Amino acid sequence: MSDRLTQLQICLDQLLNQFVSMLNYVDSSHDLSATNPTETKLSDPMRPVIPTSSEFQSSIYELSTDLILKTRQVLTLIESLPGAGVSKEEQVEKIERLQKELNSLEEKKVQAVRSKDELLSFVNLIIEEFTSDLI
Amino acid sequence: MSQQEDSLISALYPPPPPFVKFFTDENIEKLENSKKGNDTVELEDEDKVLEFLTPPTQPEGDTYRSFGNIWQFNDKMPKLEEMGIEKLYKDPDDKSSSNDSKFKIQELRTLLKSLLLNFLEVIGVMSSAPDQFHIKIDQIRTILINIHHLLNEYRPHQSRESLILLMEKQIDTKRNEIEEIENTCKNVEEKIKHLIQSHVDRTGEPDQVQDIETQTAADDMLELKIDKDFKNSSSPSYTVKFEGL
Repeated sequence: MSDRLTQLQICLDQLLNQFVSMLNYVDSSHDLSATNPTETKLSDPMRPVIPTSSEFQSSIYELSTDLILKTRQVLTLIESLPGAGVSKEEQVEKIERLQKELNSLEEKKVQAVRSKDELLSFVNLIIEEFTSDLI
Repeated sequence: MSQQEDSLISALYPPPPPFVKFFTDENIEKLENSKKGNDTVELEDEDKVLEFLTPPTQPEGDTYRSFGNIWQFNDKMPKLEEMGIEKLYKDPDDKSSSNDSKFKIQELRTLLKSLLLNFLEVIGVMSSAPDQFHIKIDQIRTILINIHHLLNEYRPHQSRESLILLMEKQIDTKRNEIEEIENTCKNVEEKIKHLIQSHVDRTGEPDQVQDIETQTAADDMLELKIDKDFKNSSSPSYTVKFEGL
């Protein structure tokens, strides 16, 4: 999963694509109307079939709903951008503190591994001693 | 066919520049010496070899050209004004404060809403005066560039935040690892103690030399265990004490 900013940028691109496809749909499927009542309504020979008025309305409705959903998604992403209200200095301070903690934990771990190794060799000794008694 | 593949593969990674072979330990040392004391004793030829080891000086100016692109020496975000684009959002009043990110989020929200509004206006303009659309399109473009610029300005903030998350995760993993190691060690020690104890219980008659020895050895070991519990006792002490068994 990419980070939030990249997600946000991808979503914006998608939003723009929706803009374009919406314009395209309106452009390609709108009905024609006469400029004055005496004129006969023309039809576009390039597009003999255009959707009926109700079809057109419902598609527009659907497209607008999609647009609103996408906008909400973008807004949610904006809201959830990490580290809101934290200053750079606080972040740097925290990073340094975590760095120290990480270092001390690493030391602790080395210590733990060492005592584990000691125990291991001790157990080994016991086993060797025990088996040599058996032989 | 196979020849073609070969040539493809050899073209994938160009050979290193011929002067790499001058980067010997000897030459590097020589270079450092000549840097320190300005040794003029060296021969001309050798100096020429050393020239390969000194990095070239930076070209003049703020930018350089590479692979057909112009690059800046110092990585920085170009300002919107420098790119000739109108800046639609304000800078926060106090720059270094913790409100910076909050402010950016607020501005992003505003820009997104005006983007939507502008789209609506484009549709309106298209229906009434189609030849005027380019003004609105230009405005949408400006808004979008502004949004992306704001997002990119936010990136350093986010990367620091991700770094913090990553470190916290690492600390957690390390803690768990240590705990597991310690638990396993404790279990093993408990088991050994238990075994010794049961052994002593079974053969614990005091009038046998063997058993006394076992007893003391067991005691030693128990003591040792208590002593040890994750303090720095070295392994030789184990061996010495164990020989008593």
